[in-house]
Amino acid sequence: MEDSKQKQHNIFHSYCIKPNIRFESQQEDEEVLLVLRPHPISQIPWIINGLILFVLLILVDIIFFNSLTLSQFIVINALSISFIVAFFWFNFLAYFFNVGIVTTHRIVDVNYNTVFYKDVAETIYSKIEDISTKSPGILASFFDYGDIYIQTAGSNMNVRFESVPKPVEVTKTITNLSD
Amino acid sequence: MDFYGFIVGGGSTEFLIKTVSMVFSFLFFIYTLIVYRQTIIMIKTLTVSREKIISFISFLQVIIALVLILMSLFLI
Repeated sequence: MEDSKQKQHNIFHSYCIKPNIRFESQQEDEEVLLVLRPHPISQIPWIINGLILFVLLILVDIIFFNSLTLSQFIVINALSISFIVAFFWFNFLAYFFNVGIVTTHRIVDVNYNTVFYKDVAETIYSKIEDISTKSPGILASFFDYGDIYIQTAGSNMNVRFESVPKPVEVTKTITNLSD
Repeated sequence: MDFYGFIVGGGSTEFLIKTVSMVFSFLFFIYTLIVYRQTIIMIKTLTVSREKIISFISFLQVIIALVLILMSLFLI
């Protein structure tokens, strides 16, 4: 039963229970319990933007088709399609590597806001002071995702998981580990 | 004058398209190199089972960018 439950969670999911991953500062005796990514629904805006770019490209092709030679047409289209694919890939990387990690020892939040900007915040359970969740909007309520704010003691950075699925379950897990 | 000629003012469109495509393909090449490098850093931060596929796709973009430079140099 446990095996079949674990097989359901692969690394591409946004709520992964005990996935087969390691992170940079992981200790030998530390086990990853949860890996959280933004809910796929929250990724729809950039997918739509990319599709709009494809539609625009087709429109531009129709308008300029008679004005360009075949070689110009091929090069311009190859460039445009490469840009659009790069746009999709860039956003996928930002989605895939923006993770919240809950381990047996601590909570780690890895953030790549623009792929080129890395921000890692982590805290041990004993320093957690307060956990709050927020599910803003209809989509967040309907698809059960939201933000989790973990306030820490002292000068430690607060940890924030954005648009993660099942925020209440995640909060429960963290609270249980803190006790 | 067609729509395209109207936009570029009827000038040397071939030269303009070649220059623009060369500049953009070169900028795209630099961009893909940075993304590839960043992908390697990301994989080091979070080691996943499909890391080779992810780094390969980023590397493939670098190759495509090189092909685009060649295309804009010799095809137009």
